[in-house]
Amino acid sequence: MSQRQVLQVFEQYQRDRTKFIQTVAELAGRPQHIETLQNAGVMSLLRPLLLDIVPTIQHTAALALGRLANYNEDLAEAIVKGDILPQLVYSLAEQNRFYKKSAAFVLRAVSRHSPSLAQSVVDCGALDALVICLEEFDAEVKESAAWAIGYIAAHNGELSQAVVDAGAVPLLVMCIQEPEVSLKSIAASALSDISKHSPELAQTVVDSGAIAHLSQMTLNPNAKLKRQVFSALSQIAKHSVDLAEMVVEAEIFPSVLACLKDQDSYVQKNIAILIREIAKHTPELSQLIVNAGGVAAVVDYIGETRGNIRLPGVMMLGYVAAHAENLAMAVIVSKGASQLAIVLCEEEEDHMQAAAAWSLGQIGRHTPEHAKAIAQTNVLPKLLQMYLNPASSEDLQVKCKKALKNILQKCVHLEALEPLLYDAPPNILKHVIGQFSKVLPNDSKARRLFMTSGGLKKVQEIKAEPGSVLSEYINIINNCYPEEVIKYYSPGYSETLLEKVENFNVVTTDPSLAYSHSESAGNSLSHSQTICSTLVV
Amino acid sequence: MAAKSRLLKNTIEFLSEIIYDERNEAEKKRIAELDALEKAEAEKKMRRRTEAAIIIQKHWRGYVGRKYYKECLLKYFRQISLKHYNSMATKIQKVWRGNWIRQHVYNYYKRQEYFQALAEKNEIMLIRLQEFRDERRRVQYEMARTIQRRHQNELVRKYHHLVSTKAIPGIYNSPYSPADSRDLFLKSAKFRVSPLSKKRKQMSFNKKCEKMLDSIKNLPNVPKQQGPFQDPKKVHFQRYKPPRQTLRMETDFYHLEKARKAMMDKEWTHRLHDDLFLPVKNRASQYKANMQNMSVYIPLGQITYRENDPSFNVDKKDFQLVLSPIPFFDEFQEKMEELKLEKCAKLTENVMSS
Repeated sequence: MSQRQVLQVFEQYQRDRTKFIQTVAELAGRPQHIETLQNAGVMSLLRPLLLDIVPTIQHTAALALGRLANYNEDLAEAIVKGDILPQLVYSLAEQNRFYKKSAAFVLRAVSRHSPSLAQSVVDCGALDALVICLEEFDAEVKESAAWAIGYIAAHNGELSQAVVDAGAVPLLVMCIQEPEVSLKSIAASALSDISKHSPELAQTVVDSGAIAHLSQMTLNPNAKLKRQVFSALSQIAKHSVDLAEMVVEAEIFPSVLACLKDQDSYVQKNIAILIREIAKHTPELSQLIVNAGGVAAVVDYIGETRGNIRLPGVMMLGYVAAHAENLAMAVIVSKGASQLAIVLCEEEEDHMQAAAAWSLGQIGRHTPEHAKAIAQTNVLPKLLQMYLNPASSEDLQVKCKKALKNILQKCVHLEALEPLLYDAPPNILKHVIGQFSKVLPNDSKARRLFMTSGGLKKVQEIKAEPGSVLSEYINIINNCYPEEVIKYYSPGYSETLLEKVENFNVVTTDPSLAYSHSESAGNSLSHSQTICSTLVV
Repeated sequence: MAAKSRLLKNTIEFLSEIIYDERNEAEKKRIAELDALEKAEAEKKMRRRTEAAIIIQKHWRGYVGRKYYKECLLKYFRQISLKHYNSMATKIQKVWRGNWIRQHVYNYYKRQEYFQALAEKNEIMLIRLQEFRDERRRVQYEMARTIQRRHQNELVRKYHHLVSTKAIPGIYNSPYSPADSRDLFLKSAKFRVSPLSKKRKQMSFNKKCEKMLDSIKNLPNVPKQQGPFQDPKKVHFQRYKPPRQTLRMETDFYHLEKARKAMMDKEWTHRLHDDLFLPVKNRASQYKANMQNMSVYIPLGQITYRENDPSFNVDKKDFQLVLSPIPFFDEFQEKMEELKLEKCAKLTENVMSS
């Protein structure tokens, strides 16, 4: 045998290994093959290949493992149980960049499934290795390391704290400043994941100077980057007033409002979330957004989008209106109320309707002027209908009831209140009648209108328990009208009149007189009606 | 006489008794009268004193009462006036506060002005946003058009062989129908020179190939093939692809060691951390060799693979076990080794006996 033949054996072996691992990696990319691969025991075969002498085989094996772990939680757990992670972490520090990329991919795939798996990744010391990878020159390595770090931090506060303790935040902030857009966006998403858990974590992100760099990227044309940037900013701003003010001081308003018109709907949603998180803290911050024309922009964006995308915008209007009376008025002036009414009618899902109802309640609860503006959008019957609909969720019912109560307690716009008299349940009717009882004693025109439109008749038909609040209100209303009118409108009046006729003693003996008298008594109903109508007129 | 004297004596006695009684009576009355007189005197005196005391007390009480009354009156007056002043102060404060708040906080006109300004600002904002969106749309539309044009151009380039020439009319250029726009469209094809090929041209290696190609082009009496059949870029790439080495040559056998050394060198020069990374979990136990590698060496002279007993491959245990996770094997590895050794010994015995 010549030397060449001997070497050929090795070459053959290496070629076959490479082919095997490449095929497995390719197959692992398709979900339909994964079960077969798993049954064939791919895990135990991949492990030795991770230690192969050929770097290509090593990183392809890592790639295959990553794809398997990405598929479902069981496979990820199998990797953890197979003691593969320490090996990966160990070699992460000393292998080439392709291997680092694939290893980081495996760590990401494992830690993405559940907090316990992420914790086991952290326990292997992966964070330190990943943080070292963030210092690598190669952008792709940094990218996959940042990605893995983001996935670990996304689960809960403790894991995020571990990430922060490993010193990842300053390096992630460095990554944001790199020229590669994908690296930027992944680093931004990792920062968002870190800062979403608690104010302290958000504060560490802010302390490392992330906001200045994030705010510079708000006008970047890349949609994916913008999504992550806005999500990071909103996660920072959501915790406290101080953090929200820090975000605002980066002078993002009013330029970011332009992003509400972005082509990408998730950018729109994230910027709306950012505005909402800032506005919800204090009246001053809300005022700032209102003065920057933010409310008009949000209303416009609500009008253009559908479904979940516009949910944060709807809530933002509610938050702004909840702070103060003039802010609520600003929302009304910016046509927010009518837009919310449209949302309430258009949307089918309960949570959207609930949000819209809540926001409307927040706007209408301040003064009669506000309540009138809400009532004029003809939203009260719709709210009542949602409240009474047994198909609507409990949350929606509660929100509708609260909104109705808030608005009704301030509403003196009687035209809008009158339809509610006919189909409101007693607990709502109480407020409606209460408003009437407040207005009618002081307004003669309204009294007349109330009587002619049949409202008074309806009020007489209500059966209120004596001594209750409702009966008190009814009494107040009844006291505004002469007694005959009340009698006339109370149910069963015709019967009492007929009874009167029956029991009437004819006094006169003169037949002609008696005849005329009985005739007049028989027609007393119509007679009294004419009296009443003359009264009314 | 005796009788007389006795009588006298009796009479005297009797008289003296009477006189004594009278005297007694008179004395008694005198004392009583004296007492009564004294009493009357005392009473009179007492009455005068009482009257005097009453007069004194009357005046004193009147004086004190008047004093107290004055004080009360003053107090009451003070209260009344305080109330009055307070109410006046409240009135002043009410008016002033109302005025102030209407001027500075709830100024109706300012409020109205603010909302008007806000509405105007909103209008401007919406217009700006619309402009922004239009601009973005325009840019996107332009981009889409450029891409579409590029695709079209590629298509035209691909189907350029269908164009009509002076000699032969193309398939879109029927002599029976008026001129087709598609033919004109095909004529508009622009061929570009791949930037890749430009680069390659500069390389000395490709010069030889080019020369060779030129020589092929210049061959006489060979009809030129019509139409580019593949993407020219692909063709270029295929044509100027550098020679591919074998897999063995591609990866050095000592690549790992070399790479490690290179990396260590790099690490030495580019070191950022002085503390090298150490994994948390250090393994105390030695690395154990893989199950698949463990086999007993049997000299080739004694046994050939063809003569192998088929039962060697048939194990009583499930084959699945081989593929089960590693920790399982880690536990039972030694046991398995023993089993295997036994089996091999049996096998050799069988072979020897046969």
